[in-house]
Amino acid sequence: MNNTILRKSIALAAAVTLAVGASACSAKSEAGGAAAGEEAGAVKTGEGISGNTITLGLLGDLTGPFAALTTEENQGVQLYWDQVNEEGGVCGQYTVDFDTKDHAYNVQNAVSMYRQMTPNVLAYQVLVGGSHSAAVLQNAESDNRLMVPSSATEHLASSEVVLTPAMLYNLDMELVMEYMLEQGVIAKGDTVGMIYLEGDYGEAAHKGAEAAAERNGLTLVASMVKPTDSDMTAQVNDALSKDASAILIGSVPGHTSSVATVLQSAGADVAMGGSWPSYSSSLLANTGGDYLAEHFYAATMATTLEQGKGAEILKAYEEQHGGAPETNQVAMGYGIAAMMHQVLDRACENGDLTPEGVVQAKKDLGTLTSDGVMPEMDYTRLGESPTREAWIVQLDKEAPGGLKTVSDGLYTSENLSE
Amino acid sequence: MSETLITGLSLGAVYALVALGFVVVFKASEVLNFAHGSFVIAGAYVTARTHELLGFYGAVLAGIAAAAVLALVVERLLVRPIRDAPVISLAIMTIGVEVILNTELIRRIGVDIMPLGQPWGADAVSILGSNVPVNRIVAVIVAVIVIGAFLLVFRFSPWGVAMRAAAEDRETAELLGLNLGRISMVAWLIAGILAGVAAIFLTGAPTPGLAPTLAAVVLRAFPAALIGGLDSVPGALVGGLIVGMTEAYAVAFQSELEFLGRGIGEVMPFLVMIIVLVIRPQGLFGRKETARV
Repeated sequence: MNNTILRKSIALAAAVTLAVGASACSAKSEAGGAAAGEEAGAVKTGEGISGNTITLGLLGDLTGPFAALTTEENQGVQLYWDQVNEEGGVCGQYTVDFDTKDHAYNVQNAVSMYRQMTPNVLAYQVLVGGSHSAAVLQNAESDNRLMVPSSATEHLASSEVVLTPAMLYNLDMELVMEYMLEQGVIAKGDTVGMIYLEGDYGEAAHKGAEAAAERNGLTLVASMVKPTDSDMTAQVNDALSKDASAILIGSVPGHTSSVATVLQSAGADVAMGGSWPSYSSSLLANTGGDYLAEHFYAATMATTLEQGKGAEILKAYEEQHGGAPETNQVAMGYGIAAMMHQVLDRACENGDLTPEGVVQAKKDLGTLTSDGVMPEMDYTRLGESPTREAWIVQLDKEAPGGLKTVSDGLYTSENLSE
Repeated sequence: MSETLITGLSLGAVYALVALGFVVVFKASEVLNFAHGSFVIAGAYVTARTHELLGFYGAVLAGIAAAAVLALVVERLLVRPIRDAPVISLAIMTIGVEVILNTELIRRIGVDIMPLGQPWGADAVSILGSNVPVNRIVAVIVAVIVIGAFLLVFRFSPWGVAMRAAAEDRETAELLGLNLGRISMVAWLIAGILAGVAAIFLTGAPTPGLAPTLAAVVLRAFPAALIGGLDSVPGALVGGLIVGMTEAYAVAFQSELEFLGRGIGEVMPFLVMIIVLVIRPQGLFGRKETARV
């Protein structure tokens, strides 16, 4: 072979391999949009409303690690607003439409898509990813775009423009641990393993696990992992070698699945507890699925589909999609849409449906409800968890959406950190 | 510790399959085929989609066939028409193909982590006191058989001899009447088959199944090819093993290696590649550069 070609090829291959292997970093951005005020009837409107159509943004991860969760959350959102639109829309006047984009869990993409979408959307009904939401937060504040981040960090909860749709991750992890302790799945003094994702979600879950561990005399063996890791063998073995009685997961569903596979392979009988973004019921079909069904506990912020309001959502979903959803993220999407609806109705009552008016309406309301789909959410204390209750669930192949509630209704514990 | 050794061997064997495909294509057609990773994902995807219909072994054949046909189509339709283009243009073209194929495949994988239906599932056997997933063991056995078969073909078949001759000196080989087009075609076909086989094990236990993250896993086979030497078949095998072992041990000792930062297992193959290239730019087994005056 020609030496020059070989030499060039090696150099090129090395350069490309390194370039593709390198990870991307986030960037700051500066964007803003001047609101163009316009009077339509008695209601003042601006960006995000064209004629009688309100556009809400759905900026999520449709192809990355949280694809399973985003897709069905969007469907739940769609389901809710379809019903509202049929019944005459927001304050009987405006129908709601969506601008849907996929940032593939890439922060840089999220920032540039946010810039692209903002002039045309009134608020972000869905914005997936903690780091992604944090990256656009400053802009969202200056642009007055209310957003529902599919993420629940303290940082996000400190902003007036954020509707944190869930218990903060630290409390969520604590709640699952308290439930497992109460049920005797883990006992005071046990060693407990934990696998958590790098970034604010995983680290917050880790913080919660540390707090609950300290309170209950548990020894925590924690490992941080990356979204691209696929094999949890080393982390699980590390925990097993220290006689862990449970493994907690503050990471993506693929990691939960891998942990279950490794535990099943090892013939272990170790419980698992996960944060709310760590599972998806499609995991039941994978290797390790049977292990998960028996051993995995987690909290859900939206009702499961076999009970109460969940059953109604299921029926409507089945009519629209011809089958049951894989997860109960549909209920989550439905619940956050119901909260957004309350805010938009209030803004309309106030006579101001501009982005500023929407943020003001959220402040006026303080506490939002979603007709039993989600717990009552209190947004009056910035930086604090909007709720301290959730349903505790286990994965179940027979249940619609693959989840069944195992707690007696909404569960809370007085032991949770302040 | 035997588990780490077997994990390393098994990962190494699978990376070697992928790296071998990369090297064979380069030797036969002087194309750095960065689309090779998407052949792996395509194979896994077809196996995952068809295993309920065809049964696991039928689906494996379908997956391998799909990866092979995809490789062939890329070679015939995209590489062949511009085969005299500079090597850099061809390589960049394959990066484009990789991006397009991966985007589409990941979109199709969509909301699921797709199981491939490996009959051994999460089964494990106890070796020297550690639990080793059966998937790891089957991977080593199959890789040894497949690589052995490949080496026999490479050494003794008319195609193997012709390919080695062509890699030695293209012009002379062409003058001697060797059909370079066919040599290249067969090389791509073999690369596709190797990718299809690797796919089965990269998605088996302890990994839950086919997920979009497979692309990042496959990427680690590229440093394997460079470490061994881009134009060396034994190099691909050794490079694969080095990367597999490095990764397995870096992960196993990650708490001890934490001072180097988190996620060291993922970075290690690239670090080893840089070190090898600095010391031996042609890779461990690559042909040494000679200066002609």
